[in-house]
Amino acid sequence: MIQNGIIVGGFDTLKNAVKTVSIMVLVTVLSIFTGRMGVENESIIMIFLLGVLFTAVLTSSRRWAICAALLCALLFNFLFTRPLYSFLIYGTNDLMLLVFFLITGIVSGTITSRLQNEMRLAGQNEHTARILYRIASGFLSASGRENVVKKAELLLKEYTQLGGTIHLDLKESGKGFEINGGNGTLGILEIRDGEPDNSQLLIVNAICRQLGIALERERLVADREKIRLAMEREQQRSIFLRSVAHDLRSPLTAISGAGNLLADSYDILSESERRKLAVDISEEIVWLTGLVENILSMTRISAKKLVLHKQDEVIDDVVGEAVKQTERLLRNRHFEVKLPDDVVTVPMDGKLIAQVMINLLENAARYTPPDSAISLTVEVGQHLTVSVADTGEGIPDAIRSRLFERYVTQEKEIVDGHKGLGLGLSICKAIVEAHGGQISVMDNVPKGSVFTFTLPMEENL
Amino acid sequence: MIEDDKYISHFIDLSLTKEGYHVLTAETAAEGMFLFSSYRPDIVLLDLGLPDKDGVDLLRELRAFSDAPVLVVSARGQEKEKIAALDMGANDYITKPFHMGELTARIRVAERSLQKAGGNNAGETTFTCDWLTVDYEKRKVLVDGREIHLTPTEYKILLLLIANKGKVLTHNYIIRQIWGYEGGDSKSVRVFMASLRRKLEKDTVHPRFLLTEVGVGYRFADE
Repeated sequence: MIQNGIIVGGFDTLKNAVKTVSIMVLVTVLSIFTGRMGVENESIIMIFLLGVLFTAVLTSSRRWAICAALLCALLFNFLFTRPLYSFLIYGTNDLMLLVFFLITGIVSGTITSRLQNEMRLAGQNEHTARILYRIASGFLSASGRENVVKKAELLLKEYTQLGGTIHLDLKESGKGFEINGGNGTLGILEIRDGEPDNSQLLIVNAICRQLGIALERERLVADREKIRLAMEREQQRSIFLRSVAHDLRSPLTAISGAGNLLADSYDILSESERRKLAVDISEEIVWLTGLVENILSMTRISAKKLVLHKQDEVIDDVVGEAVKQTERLLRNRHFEVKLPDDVVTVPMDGKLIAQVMINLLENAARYTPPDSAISLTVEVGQHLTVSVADTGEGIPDAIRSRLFERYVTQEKEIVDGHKGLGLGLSICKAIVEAHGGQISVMDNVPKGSVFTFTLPMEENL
Repeated sequence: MIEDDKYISHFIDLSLTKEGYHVLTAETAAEGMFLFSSYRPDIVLLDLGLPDKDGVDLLRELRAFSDAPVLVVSARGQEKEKIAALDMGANDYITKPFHMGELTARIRVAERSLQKAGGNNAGETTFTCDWLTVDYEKRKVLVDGREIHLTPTEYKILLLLIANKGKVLTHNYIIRQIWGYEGGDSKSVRVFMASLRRKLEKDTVHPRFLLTEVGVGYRFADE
């Protein structure tokens, strides 16, 4: 690099020297020519002054202007002062001319040179300012942490031709330029291609500063989003809790009534009355247990993201589990199960899908008359299709469209009795959709309903 | 029974005593350990949600000096704890809320494992249960007298389940026993179990012998 500097410097000197010499030559020729035309020395000296000024403008340092001034003085002395073609001066006029020319030449040369430099500097400054402006606006358009970092590296390459890596992991304290945010260091910018020179340093620092600001901005955006989600979740949670409490009131009333009666009036009641109360309590409890089950499933649904523990489950296992859990309900019903001939595994959260089947079977058992036939069918094709069909009364049109909605909207519109369809179907929908499947209801032929849900056969990556 | 909830322990005590069992109740792990060491009961009912110690830790301590059958009582959704307990040596598990009928059935199964403790099928050449017969010497499996062809791995798994009949075997346990530590994954276990079920069971939806505990493991039922 030092060698390069010398060569470049040498080249510059050569250029300047060539320029100076050529201007001198030009000026000399011009002055001789005008001299021959009879112009006086006083005017000719102006040509030399012009030469000095041009040298000042065209060369890069005042050195050359000064050299030119001296050279011009010598030339003028040699060519135009009496005695001609010698370095002696006889006339005071000529001497004065020479001396003041020298002073004027050096001063104006120096000033002009300085002016040139100032202009050049101003040009450079403007260029740098423009770069900084582009850097700042460059960061405005990038959003997202990775993009911002990539942008920084790109800008660095573009404006300094240096490659650099940005480390946002503060554990490695390497050497480099600090990237600072609002509070503390966010990372290090490490320049891979050697040390930046002074002009590049300015840009590197500007990039670091802008990067710091942009990263801060990204962090704030991310925080705001987190807060928003948390608030949404809170809201959903309170809606959910309210509906749960609502749902609990009826069965609790029934149980407390029966329980209190047994406790307080045990002796007055007849044997069969006592038995009936005990059975009532048992049955309400069964219903409550189902509700608790659904609530537990619901807690695994948080802000639209359901936490799944997916495994490749054999569909027989999951169906078996669902059937086992609903055994009591389906005991005295006409119930049949159809499974595919082959052993099929499908990625799913076994417990949750079993819950979906249980909910569908429970609905079928509870909301259809005892003589209605219930069936569970599993088919394998492009998707895994599971259908629960009944031959009951079907779903009234009024609520069909709202069937899978969250509980809250069904608060007053309850289908049968005091137990609403409640959480069951909305949970089914959430679970099925979280697996990438779909759930729907259709009319069964000749009567009743068919609830169908699908699951993808393969994991969609 | 080591259970800290008074209402639960009350009704279990009541029903088991009615069935003819002698019940000792402890409310903490410490008390449970003490009672166990002093009285050496035959079967232990262990609640996983004890106040003073993790149920699995207590089980580990217990297993250090006793092979008494242990049934763990857990709450729904505690799959990991259930599997940990089973891997630590528990025989079976029951999930709250449960019907007394389920609990007494599982206790009876545990009782049977007591009776044949030590010796198992050591001298036996065949195993028969309902329509299933396994001839160890001739390596044949018969359903209703008809021979069924099983792959070597299916046969190994069947034997493993029968040897541990009544006990819940976790996927991990089966993988370890059949394939060793490196081989196999739980998907293959499920597939093998499903094909075994189709070959040996008359109604795959309501299996008689090969019971599945979704998310946990499998059990061979001989009651």
